[in-house]
Amino acid sequence: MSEINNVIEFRNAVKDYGDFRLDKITFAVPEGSVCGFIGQNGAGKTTTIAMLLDIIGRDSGEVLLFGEPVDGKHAHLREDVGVVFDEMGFHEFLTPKQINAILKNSYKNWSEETFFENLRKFSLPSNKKCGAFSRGMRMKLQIAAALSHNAKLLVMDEPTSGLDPIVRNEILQIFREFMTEENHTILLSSHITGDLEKIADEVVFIDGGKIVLAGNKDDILEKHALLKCSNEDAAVISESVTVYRQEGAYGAEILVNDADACRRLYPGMVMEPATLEEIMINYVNRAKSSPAG
Amino acid sequence: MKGLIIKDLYCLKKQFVMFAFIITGVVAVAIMFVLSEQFGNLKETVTGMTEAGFDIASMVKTSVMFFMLLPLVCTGNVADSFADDKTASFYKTAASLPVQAEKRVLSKFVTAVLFLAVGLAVDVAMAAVISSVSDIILFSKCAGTLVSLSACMLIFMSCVILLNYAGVPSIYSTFIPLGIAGILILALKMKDIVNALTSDDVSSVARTFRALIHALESRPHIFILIAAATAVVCWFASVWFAKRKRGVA
Repeated sequence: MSEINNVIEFRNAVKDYGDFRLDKITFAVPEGSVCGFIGQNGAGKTTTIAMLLDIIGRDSGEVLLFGEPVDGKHAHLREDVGVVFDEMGFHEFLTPKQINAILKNSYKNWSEETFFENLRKFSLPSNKKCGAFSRGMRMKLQIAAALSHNAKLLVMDEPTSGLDPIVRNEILQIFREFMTEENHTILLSSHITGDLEKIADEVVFIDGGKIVLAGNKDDILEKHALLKCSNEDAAVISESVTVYRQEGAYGAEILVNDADACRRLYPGMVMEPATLEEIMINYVNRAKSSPAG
Repeated sequence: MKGLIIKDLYCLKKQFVMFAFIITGVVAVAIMFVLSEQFGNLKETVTGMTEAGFDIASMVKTSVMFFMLLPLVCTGNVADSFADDKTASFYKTAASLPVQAEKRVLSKFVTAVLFLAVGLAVDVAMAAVISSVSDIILFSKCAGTLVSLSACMLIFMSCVILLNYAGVPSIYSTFIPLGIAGILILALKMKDIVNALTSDDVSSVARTFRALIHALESRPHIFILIAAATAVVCWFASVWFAKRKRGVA
């Protein structure tokens, strides 16, 4: 049996800003997978990604990229990482042609042919200043660059937010094409969980700077379910399987974290599969309603 | 690192327009100066004033030097590239490139030196032309002054780079070194300045000024050494800040 290599590993990583703390972040992204990194705005997704890319240091814990520590000394690791940020990150007066000149002198494996081919594929002009690009075009430009140096890992921070469904779908298709190579991996941060349900194999859910859930997406979706019942019936549901319950005039809706057990324990109750969005919202609501949260 | 230098050159490219404009102006003024000094009004003025006992030659020389410094000075706005990086959030992109912090910082210094070299080359070429057709300036002294002033510019630019890495907003980083230099000069020569203001005795200030001009003309190696030492210290300090903060372009 072949060993599964983790391309990304966070081990109890901590970053404390005083008013916000990433608290003992621990998760791993296996090679060949698409990992959806979900959480509401301000949950800590961008800070976690910044830590992974060495944009910020950490206070304690370990972060490994391709098995090597991210500690400000291993810049060569980023040769194999393509990065897409929520903002373009290039100067607005630069043209894609000029960006090519910058990046071909930054990456050893930069391929001009691939870059210009990507520009053509994404219908991006090479001589137009990118300040004139729409948000969708800017994202595509970043993706074109990220895919032009033979990266094995794509790290993307909210690449599809603010984009219309057609462009989002195009971008997801680009990611699917990238994943046809078996050693390719994607870490995709987003609060648009619908996109991740389409593409992700793994899911990491962060809230308030803490990892709430991490694991295989299908396992997470199988384990969780929405139990719909009357308010009286809701009272008998065990707290140990309840993530969050919402009671209203017409009955209760309860997110449970052990769907199999609930099917056995409460055979008469209606159970519906939960989406990632519903899971995320219920966990966030639980954190808000808990005494600490 | 080369990629980042190219990026900075693109950032500073817009200054080429201003640079070209200033060069054109300075060349035009220099031509007029030379022609006038040899055939026109200036020749008569110089002759007349010199006969009247004024050191007009020094004044003419200082004026020419002042114009010639403009191209050199306008190559020194390295703070612009930091401001552009911040506007574009380029620091994140830079941090995602496979380039060590040391090289990221070095790229800023290399860009600054490249720009400075362009300004110096233009000025030296102009000095060579003017000194070959006119007696206003001597090439050896003029070249010495230009090299010394380039070294001063390098000291200024190194401080600007350091201040930007230290997190000082780029709009202030340009003025802080100038302000410190001004305060230092005032502090060192306060007595002479007060004297000049209260008793109209400008001789000590003039003496200091002449001594400075003489040092610039004849001791460029000292300025180069100070500039090199400052650049090295600023580079180390900038790297320290860049590593501590991480993600600085």
